[in-house]
Amino acid sequence: MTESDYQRQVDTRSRQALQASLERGSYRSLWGFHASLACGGDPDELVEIAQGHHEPGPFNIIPGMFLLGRWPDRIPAEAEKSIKHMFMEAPQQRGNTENHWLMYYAGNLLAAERWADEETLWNGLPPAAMHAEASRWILGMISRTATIGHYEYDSTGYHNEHYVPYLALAEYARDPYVRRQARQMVHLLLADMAIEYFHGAYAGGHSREGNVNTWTQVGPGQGLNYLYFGDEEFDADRHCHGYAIPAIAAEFRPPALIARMALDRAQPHAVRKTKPPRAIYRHVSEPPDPVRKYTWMSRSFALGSTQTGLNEAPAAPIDLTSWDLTWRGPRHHAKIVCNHPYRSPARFSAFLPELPQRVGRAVATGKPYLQVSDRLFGASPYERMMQHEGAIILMYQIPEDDLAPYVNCFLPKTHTWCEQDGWILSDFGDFYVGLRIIGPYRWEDIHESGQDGNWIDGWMLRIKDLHAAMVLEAIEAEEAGSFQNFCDARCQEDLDLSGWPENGLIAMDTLSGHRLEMNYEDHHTVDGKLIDYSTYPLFDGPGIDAPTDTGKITFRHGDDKLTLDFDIDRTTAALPMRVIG
Amino acid sequence: MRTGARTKRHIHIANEQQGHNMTMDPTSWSSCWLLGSQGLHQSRDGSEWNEVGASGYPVQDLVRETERVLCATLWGLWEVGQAEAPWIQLHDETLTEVQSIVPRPGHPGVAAVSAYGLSFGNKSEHGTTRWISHAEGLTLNERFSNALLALPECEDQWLVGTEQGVLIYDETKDLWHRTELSGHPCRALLFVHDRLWAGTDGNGIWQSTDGHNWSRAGSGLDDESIFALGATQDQILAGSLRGICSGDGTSRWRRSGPALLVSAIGAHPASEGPWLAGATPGGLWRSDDSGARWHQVGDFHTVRVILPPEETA
Repeated sequence: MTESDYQRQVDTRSRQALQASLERGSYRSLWGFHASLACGGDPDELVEIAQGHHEPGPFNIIPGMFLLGRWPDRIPAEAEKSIKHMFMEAPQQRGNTENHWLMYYAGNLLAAERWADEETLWNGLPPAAMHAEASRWILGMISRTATIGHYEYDSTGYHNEHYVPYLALAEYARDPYVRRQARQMVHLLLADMAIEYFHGAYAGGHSREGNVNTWTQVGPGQGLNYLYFGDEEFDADRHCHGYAIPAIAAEFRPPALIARMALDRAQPHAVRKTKPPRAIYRHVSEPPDPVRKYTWMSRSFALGSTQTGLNEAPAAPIDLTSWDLTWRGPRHHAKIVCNHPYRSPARFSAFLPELPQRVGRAVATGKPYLQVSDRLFGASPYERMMQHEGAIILMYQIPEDDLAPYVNCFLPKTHTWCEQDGWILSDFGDFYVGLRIIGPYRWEDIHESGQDGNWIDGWMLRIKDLHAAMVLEAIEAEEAGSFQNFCDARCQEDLDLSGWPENGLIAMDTLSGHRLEMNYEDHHTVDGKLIDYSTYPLFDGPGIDAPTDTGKITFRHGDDKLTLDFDIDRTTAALPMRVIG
Repeated sequence: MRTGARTKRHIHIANEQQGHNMTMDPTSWSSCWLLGSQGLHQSRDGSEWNEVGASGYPVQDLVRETERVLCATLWGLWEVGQAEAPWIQLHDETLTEVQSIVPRPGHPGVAAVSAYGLSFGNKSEHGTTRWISHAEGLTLNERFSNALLALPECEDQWLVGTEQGVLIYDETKDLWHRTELSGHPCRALLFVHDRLWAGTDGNGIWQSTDGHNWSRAGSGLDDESIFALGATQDQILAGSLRGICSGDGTSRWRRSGPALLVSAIGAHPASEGPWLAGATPGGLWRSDDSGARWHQVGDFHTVRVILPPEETA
């Protein structure tokens, strides 16, 4: 695939998605109106749409500026007037997450450049003041991301809300340095997604995924996946989300190398990533540790896990997904995950400023799924894990007085499960899975209805044990032989539970010939060698050279190379973190 | 900063819901009740309320000056001069989740505490304010700050109510001092009746003369959570997890009102004036008989701060 071939493919997919968006009528928003402008719709429809988007939250601050940048000669004057009104008159809301602030500051930076001659903006300050503030924050966050990792990392729900503002800055900012750094961020965020891309899914752990973590393909990022990687059938329901439309309509085209990285599954390989510590600002004695991710990208499945760095209650971000096994298949049919549904009230106030007595109810009134006993997502301070290739050990040490003295494990219903010598095993065609529940469990079902059909639908194993644990191994069928061979071999390999729970120790031999030993609070070893998570680079995988703290990142595939250099000045103090993610 | 807004002689308060406008002299800031909820609200009598500026921002704390009000919100710090002018931004990219502000000489006129500690601002280019936080050597719980008070008669000494208790910051020496009042979050500070008062979360009300040494105030609230403190001419008022408490700080506290989480409280400076209490959630409540009976006023869900009028007229 040559560079020009790839760009033509992206052009084709872009037109396809924009046309579908227009035909579905989903273009009627500031995010989606690009579809109308690109496909011959009536520009004057934007007037009414723009007049209706004065609610000044972060999600309305960026898309109008993207429209003005992308279609400089096509925006009706009355629509531009309405967009400008938001930046001249409306009391804007900055929000509290990284994606909120990014949309807010990117939109305001572009507005400050566009209307630089105005005396003041909406906040009573001159445009130059807003430009300076927005630049400081945006460039500061870029520096942080390039040295210690993306903060609101690998979010299936919010990746677009990072990608689109940086793309807007890369394409339309007049400040050349902001433009340069944002362009590098666009490449970085795409590469970050590409190296864990798996057939339309974002494999591995996620900072924010929420209650859709039994779905195979999740969120508006699917539009980016289709546009740039394109290895699946077009599905307008999944690929035309409004938050993806600005990127789909943009002129920007990434190098084909990024797509090739995403699509190359010829050799199973490990992807490792470093991400910053989670935002916790009270109720704990020490800040969390950095996040370290490990994802095994096999041909038929992806197994990903996270050292969350969350070792002290009640630090437990509510949207985090720490691990899962994913493969190709419909929603609910291609995921295995387990979770301790930790729900101390203080977990909310550990990262939100409202009163601890109130914040849990205030948040969960609007999002009741955050508090349900069957929850399958969200961090727990009592969860630990280690992984090597297709094998993972998960341990829990739950206090007696915890509100959820158990662990939930989700299994898909659509495959036949077998039991042999305590192992639960299944044949998924191209690969096999065996998992061993440690602790008394009961086989239940889980079914929740939602606006897009079944929100959750599958089997749920409730492990009622304060010291619940689980080991799982997935292996390609071609490596294991017949399914019965796999079952016999997996059951015969050593699983040493003599140290659990008393000594916090579990050891196992894997079918690929490795010995994993994990201590709950201490060491993780593979074949006797200690895993030193502190040595994880920013990114690691085939063709990747990305040490932490340098801002210099190289991605290689074949003869192609993409080098990013973020010009990090190590003598400058890092931007203080003031957002959550 | 655009200063023109401050020199305007009138404050125009729009009340779109009621379909009428009120024009008020700027000195009315001091003669009115002010309330922080979703937005800044103002009232002449404590019963009829108007939103000032329709910002909708979650206002956590207020400082009133003659011609302006400073609003601490979860999204930053704002100066409100007049209703028709924009709220003027006083924060930068480092100041957010502001919990409390108190007057401080110079620009921008206040010091602030937030989830990220104690911050002081300075005037910068384009008339903006740049903030520097002071949290060196503090634990996370000591950094997360809920309440702030300038230590009386001690220049550049700041009393800070944190998640770990009360700390003192010596601005001149850039040093933090831990105090006797530690181990529980401090959510409210007050200087009145020649004493410092601290409301703690789970450990009742404490009093001090120097900020370093503390003794329990009154009895009957030893394990109570206190979120707000106010005063009449001779009493201390406290907002607790289970309603309003009042007392002299020595004898047993008297409970009154419904069992609300009372997050804001204030009493009119006139001796027979009304008391107002704001809840999270539960709205705004008023008593005209020194706490014997209470009734809801206004249309609020959550009230975070109440400033009584400064004048008794």
